[in-house]
Amino acid sequence: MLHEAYFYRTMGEFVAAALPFVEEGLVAGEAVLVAVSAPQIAALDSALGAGHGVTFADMAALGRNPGRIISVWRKFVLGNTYAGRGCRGIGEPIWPGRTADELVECQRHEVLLNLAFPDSPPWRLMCPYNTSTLDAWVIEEAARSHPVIGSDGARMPSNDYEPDLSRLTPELLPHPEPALEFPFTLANIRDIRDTVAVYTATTGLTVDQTGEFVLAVHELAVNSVHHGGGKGILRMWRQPGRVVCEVADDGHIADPLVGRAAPKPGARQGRGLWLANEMCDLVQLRSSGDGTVVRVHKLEQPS
Amino acid sequence: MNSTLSAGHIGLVVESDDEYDRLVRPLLDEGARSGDKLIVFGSAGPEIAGDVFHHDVPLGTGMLTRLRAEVDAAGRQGYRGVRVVANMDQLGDPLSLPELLAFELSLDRAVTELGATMLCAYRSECFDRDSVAVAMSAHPCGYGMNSKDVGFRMWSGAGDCWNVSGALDLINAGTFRAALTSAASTTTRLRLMFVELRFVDLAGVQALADVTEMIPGLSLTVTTHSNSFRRCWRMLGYDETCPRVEILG
Repeated sequence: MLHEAYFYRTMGEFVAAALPFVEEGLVAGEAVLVAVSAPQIAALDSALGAGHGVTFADMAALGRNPGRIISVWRKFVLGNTYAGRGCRGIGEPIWPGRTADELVECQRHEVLLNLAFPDSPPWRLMCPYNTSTLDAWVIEEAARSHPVIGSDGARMPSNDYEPDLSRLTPELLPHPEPALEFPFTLANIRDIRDTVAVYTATTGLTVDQTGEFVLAVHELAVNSVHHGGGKGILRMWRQPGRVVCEVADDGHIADPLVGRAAPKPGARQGRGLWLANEMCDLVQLRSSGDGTVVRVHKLEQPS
Repeated sequence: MNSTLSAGHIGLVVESDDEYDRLVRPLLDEGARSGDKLIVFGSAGPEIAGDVFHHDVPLGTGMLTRLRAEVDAAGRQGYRGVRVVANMDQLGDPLSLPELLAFELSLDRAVTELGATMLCAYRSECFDRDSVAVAMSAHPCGYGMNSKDVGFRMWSGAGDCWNVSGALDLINAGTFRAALTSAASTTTRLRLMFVELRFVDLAGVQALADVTEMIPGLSLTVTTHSNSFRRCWRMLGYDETCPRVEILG
């Protein structure tokens, strides 16, 4: 994969960079997927004119949880590769307003993209970064996570490129006291469902959101029972506008891409974390020889 | 005993004779008042006012045959119907778990077709927890120790329909898979109604797909209001790989 960051300052500069990138792909007969904000979609769609054949996706929805973006790109690339068609994309996972937790997970996503397509035919992914609205350290990190950087119509190799996750694995913030705490094994794993449902009943989650959250947390607990030493600890708490749940166990997850690809039908492994990514608004995974912690966040509906 | 527990196929788990008498007697008393023929499969039964017919029948097809015969006879004898208590620990050699599940599902189908009332009494001292859990999953309602059971229940509806309630998860997915397989053994078309199915995890979804893939020619229609189930089915790709399964809202 040819993974590049493109730095722009205005909507005009975004369109000026995105338009030739997209048109080059269309001329070559490639499939093109553009996952950016709604205003950017409108601007690029207008610039392309009618009948362009580009697929657009609103990154605010698709990439609300950055942990599920790679899954979308994989499906796009694999599908087109299977059909014998080249492809390219534009994806902007970082926008102003991302929380500190989200930013770290977005930056981990950008590094992991470099590892996610080892066997696929070459394809291009451009990641626009708005330098007028994002902090300087975010732009600096983009230069470290992309082998190619571009701006003002020019592209060059990034001298700072360093696809290493270790700098992006900060300790998770301590959970606030008092957090609900619930040790579990297979014997009481069913009680987790009620525990989570009762806790979330006092929050702003809808019935469907609660169902999704309960299922995600249950599957994380199933992972602990199957792969994390047979037991784990569930903790829950609220942060402004969200409900957070953490499942900790003694297991170790070595694959940094776990949960970022849709499992093959019938697969028995790799489903729990993937489902958590699909069902939740943010997933934070930290794993080492000391154990694994997975935090999942669900955003409350504004009242 | 409330009315919903006084008809159809009822699963009962008790841990003492006193509890057995306390829970079974009202069911028979009500049957006597209603003009039902009262039958006990097994040697013992609670003392009640009125005739109770005792039969020693073995678990399995022998009991099903006897039940059908008793329903026929009761009609000729002027009874409104039959009300049977089966003391499951007194009916011959115990069945293996798959046999027990298949038997209870067959019994459930027969009870529904015949319009009988059948209470299957399991004494906890005679059956291990797995056996009780498997047996209770094939009853539409539980009574006694298991009434607040958090597993699933599957029971027969009209025609090729089976109702499913409760929760399907990693603990009982194997039993659910076996129940579906058993139900599919006599038909090529199954309809499942998820009635108050509160929770289905990935293991439960997988069980449904497994059965469809294992039994060539089986068509399955699932009616459910669960957005979570439909979403999981689609996310796991089964809407494409299991075309013989139709999910209805």
